[in-house]
Amino acid sequence: MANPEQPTPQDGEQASRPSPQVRKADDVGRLQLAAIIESSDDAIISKTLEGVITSWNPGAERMFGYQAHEVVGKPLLILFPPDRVDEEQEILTRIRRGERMEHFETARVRKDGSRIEVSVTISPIKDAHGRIVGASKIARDITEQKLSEQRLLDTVREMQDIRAALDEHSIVAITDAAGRITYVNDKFCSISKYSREELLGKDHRIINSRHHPKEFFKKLWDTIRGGGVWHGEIKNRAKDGTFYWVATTIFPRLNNAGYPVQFISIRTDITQRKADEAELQRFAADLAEKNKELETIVYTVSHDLRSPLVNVQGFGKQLNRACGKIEAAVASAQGGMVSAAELRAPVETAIPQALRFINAGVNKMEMLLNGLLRYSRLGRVAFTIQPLDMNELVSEIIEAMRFQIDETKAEVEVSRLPPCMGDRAQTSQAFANLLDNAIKYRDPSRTLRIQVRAAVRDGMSVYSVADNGIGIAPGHREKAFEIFHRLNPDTASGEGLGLTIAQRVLEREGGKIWIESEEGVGSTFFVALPTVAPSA
Amino acid sequence: MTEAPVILIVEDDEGHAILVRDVLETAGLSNRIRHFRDGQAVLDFLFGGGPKAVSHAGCTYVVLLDIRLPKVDGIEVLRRIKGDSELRKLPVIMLTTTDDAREVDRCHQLGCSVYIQKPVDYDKFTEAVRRLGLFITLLLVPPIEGR
Repeated sequence: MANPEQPTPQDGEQASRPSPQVRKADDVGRLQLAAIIESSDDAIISKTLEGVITSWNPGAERMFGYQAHEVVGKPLLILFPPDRVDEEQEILTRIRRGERMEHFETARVRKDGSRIEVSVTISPIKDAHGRIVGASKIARDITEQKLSEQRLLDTVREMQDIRAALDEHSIVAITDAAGRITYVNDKFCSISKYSREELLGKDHRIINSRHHPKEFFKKLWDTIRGGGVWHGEIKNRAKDGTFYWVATTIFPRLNNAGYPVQFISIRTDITQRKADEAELQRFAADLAEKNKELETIVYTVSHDLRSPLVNVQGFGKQLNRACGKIEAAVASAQGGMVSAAELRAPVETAIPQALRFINAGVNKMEMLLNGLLRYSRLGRVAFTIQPLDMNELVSEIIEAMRFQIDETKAEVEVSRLPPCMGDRAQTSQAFANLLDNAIKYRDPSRTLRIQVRAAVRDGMSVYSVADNGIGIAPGHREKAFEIFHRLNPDTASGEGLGLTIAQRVLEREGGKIWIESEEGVGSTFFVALPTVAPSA
Repeated sequence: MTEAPVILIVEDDEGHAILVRDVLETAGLSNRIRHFRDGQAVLDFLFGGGPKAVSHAGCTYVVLLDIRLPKVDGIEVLRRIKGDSELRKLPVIMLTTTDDAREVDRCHQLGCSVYIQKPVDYDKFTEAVRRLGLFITLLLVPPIEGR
């Protein structure tokens, strides 16, 4: 911008005497400049080197509230707020040196006392001889601009705080449109166990656990590429091979054309919740099974307990009747003589029979109740699961059964047995039961041979106890483990509880039991128990 | 009416068998009675160990069948009888201590003729079996054809 302002009377007229034409053109130029100054929104002010106002355009009137006639001739200092008065001295000093100050941001005071933020450009005014005679000052109101700058700053700070809060709570990653990671927060690094350097530039396949089918990720990508937000639970794999679950929200950032340019994923660690859920499901399944088992037991027991009761009641009545006959015989006694013939039937047949059945019924009920108590206590016994030396355990059982084995002349052959995890006393009882059954259900027509063998399969030690006994027909095998079920009540003693308890014990130890058998050839009972972990 | 049917009592509890027999006899039934102590025994009698019924030409039977039995239970015995083209004509009366609704339903599904629960109370037991005896005398039991 050039020098001329409101011309002072002496100003430059005599500097050079231009021709009339030139003068005319010069006049047009001055008029145009005057018009520009008149209509400018900026305040355009001139002042002397002493700081006295010499001109004041309408823009200045609007900006500061003073009319030109109120301020021309007054010091410009009237516009300065008390804390900025030093500025004027500085400005005037620099102007005298011929310096120009551009877009100098400061504050001024309006006539009404209100502050106004301004951006000021101040230039020296020179006369025709190049001497500095004053200063022109163009001021622009930047109050609004300052305000929006502040708002922007506040917004940026707010965004930063929100991000910091997010980083505190969530696992955050940002990828480009191709899915390459461009940002990860500390939580992402700590849960995935990868460093930031290892993650940046890669895509999320680096933490893929292979748990989810391809379609799962296809759906995810279809959603976010289409501009949609995706929510879901993902199982990821950390650098050290461990797995973690995250509840995930992926938010695509779209460009003006509506295409994603970035994907922001926010995740929460739900590994524990997933583990809890799985455990809960296991518990529920376990409970359902136990419930079914209990129902079967209640059903069975209600039947089995009723049977002896029918006998006790029935034969009790028969006892009554026998007594009635004896009473009748006594009542009809003649001369103190009771007819022996009349007493014979009740005394020799009815009463002993009735007593036999009543006693048997009572004993049966007692046995059932004892068995039931034993079975129910099993659920409360604390198991001590430890590595078991099965060679030692089985040989101890065989020693304890030596008398029965010798008496039946049975041949028992035991291979080398791998160890397993189980409760010593309970496991011993289960195996003792299997050996006892082999002896109980032997085929008397041949020498009993019992073979105990083992193999390790899929983390389980699978033991087999094979005999050449009477065997079990196909239809009866499932029943063998049923509570109080007795395959051969006539030939073998027992309460029908051995295999039921063995099964329950082995299940509680994380194992199982099953039968293979051929009628007339023999039975093989298999017991699978967890192997001993190599480190143990 | 032809010859009275033979009553096949399938009952593992000897006491129950005696009580039932006593009551039937007291009620005046003159039918022959055979007692089987487990499910396998009665199946052997009817099927002779084979898949099909052995010849019982001209015989008539009524089966009194308990459910909980050693070796083969009453449900399986019922299934086998009702699954045989000839034996399915036999009236099968379930006589058991169990009153479980599912069990009752299952037996009827399989085609039992009557389901009676053995009452524990002796008087009721007697009454039930006595009426059952009278019921049996009224039955017109078809003879099994020879093969």
